[in-house]
Amino acid sequence: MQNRRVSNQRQVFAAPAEHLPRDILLERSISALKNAHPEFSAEKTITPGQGAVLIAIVLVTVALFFAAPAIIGTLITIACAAAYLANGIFRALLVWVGAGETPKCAPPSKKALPLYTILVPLYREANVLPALAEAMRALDYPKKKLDIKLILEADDAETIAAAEALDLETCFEIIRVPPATPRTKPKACNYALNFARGEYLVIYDAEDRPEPDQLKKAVAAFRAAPPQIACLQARLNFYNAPENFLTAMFALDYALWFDFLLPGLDKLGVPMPLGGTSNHFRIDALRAIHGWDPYNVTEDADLGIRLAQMGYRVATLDSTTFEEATTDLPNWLRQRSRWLKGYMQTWLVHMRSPRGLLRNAGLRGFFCFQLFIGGTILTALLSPVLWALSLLPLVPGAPSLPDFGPHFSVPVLSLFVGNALFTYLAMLGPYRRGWLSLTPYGLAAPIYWMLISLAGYRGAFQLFTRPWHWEKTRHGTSKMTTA
Amino acid sequence: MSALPVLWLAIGAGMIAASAVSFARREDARGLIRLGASLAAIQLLAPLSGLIVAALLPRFLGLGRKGAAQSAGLYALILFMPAITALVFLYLAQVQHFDIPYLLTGSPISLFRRFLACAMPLAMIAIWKHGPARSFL
Repeated sequence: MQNRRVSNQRQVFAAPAEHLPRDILLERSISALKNAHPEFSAEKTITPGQGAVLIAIVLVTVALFFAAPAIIGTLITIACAAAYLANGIFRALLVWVGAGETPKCAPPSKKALPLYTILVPLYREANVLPALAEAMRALDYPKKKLDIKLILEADDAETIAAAEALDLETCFEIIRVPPATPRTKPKACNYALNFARGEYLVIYDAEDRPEPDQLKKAVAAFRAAPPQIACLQARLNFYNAPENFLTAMFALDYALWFDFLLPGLDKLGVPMPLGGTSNHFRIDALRAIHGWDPYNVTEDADLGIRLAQMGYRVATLDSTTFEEATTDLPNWLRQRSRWLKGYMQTWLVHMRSPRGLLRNAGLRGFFCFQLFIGGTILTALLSPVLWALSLLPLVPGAPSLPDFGPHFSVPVLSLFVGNALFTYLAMLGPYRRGWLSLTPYGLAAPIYWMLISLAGYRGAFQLFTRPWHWEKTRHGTSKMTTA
Repeated sequence: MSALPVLWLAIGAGMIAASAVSFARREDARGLIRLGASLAAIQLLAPLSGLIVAALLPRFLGLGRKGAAQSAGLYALILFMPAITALVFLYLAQVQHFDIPYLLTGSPISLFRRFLACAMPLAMIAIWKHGPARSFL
């Protein structure tokens, strides 16, 4: 059933549409998904039904709390602690599954290599263009089979001028995206998708340095995979990991995510949120699902889940793209707030129809979605609550220990065990790469999670005030990038 | 010591030896997790002895040869699980007054016996790495 669906869509959506007028292409890049599948568009953050359920839950909980504060307080405490621990245990399971061997594919012959489109969205990033051009030139792939699109905003004169001044080879093309709201990366990518000519497509960020053989590995993996595999997620990590505390912690975070957790989801065969860049697609499948959601600020995570909802699968690719970790706290906070806001958008979008998600992703996929996407949000938001509950008795005049009844130790113990588990996983993250010198940084993970919680609450606030606002991450701030 | 704790100790020591040798051979992430878990499990039976064994084991396995920072990372990974487990059991026993059998109790002689039992994996690893019994393991 799934095979037939994939094959039909391939025939219908294979052709590029660059012959169409620019205003139509722009309109399509904004509206194609919401017109075809409004249920998957994040243009509306919360549906009236979701709003009603949310308000009902809050009202009932508050009413019950006033009726029986001790019982309800204890139940809420236990629920928070259980959710926190469940997330930790699930991640530990994913690490175990993801730590297994990864099968390798034989490299394709040079003659069999197809045209490959590379999308690189840039905005006010003239400073990283020379390094980007070098990274693209370093790819071990015939240049005549590369279709590299530098996607620039039409009103970003500085970056356009810098790109034109580089006198790039013919495999590079500058795509100017006309100004229109929402001004997001996914909208720009959708616009450029109209001009893509490749059989496969990958998206890179401006400061990315993919391993030279990544495209060849992707071709080999796609050829060996069933047609349901519409996307391959390459591993990401940072070339400036040892630069400072923040970059080291960020590297641990990425190592765990891309080297263990995503391979774990892959092996379990459940929906996988795509991460950032280095997402390789069968271009016909990407067109079939109407590209990225321009209203979702983690369009990559949403796309991974939407692929699963539409009968496709995502797998991981054993190749790394090295990026620049944000080096300063304000920049990191903006980026992480956006990610967590986008995860909230993604969870809300795909939970508009829990039955649909259950039908499309299966029972295992449904629960993994709740634990992985919902768990990431919950852990960020619950961590300070558990800390507060644990430390409250130390505050003079605060409710004394018996007020919480015999379950007082639940938040303390779950916080301790949960933090210990998360710390161990953070320390284990860089093991696969042999970056053991970063491992001791993992002991400071609870401090890093406080920052993540801060970003989580900031993201939650923005979800209601500026849901589509794209907080741009500044690239090129690392000494190692400019060097 | 009665028969049951001795049996548990023997099983625990065997688990440590098997996981340690397996990890020394392949140095994979799963092997590392298994090793940490087996060292953590022995904490229930003999916390102090188990910690000493955990601290000595990387040296016996000959793992600390990749530079100071790399070695520190590996030691931290191997020792983290047993150290945290010891802390949890200590908390449960001392603060929550859970009845954990064999925890920090017994005469000096019985503690020494436990240490010997826990140290068995070290002896086996030493034989595996340097002695004629390599094929046995």
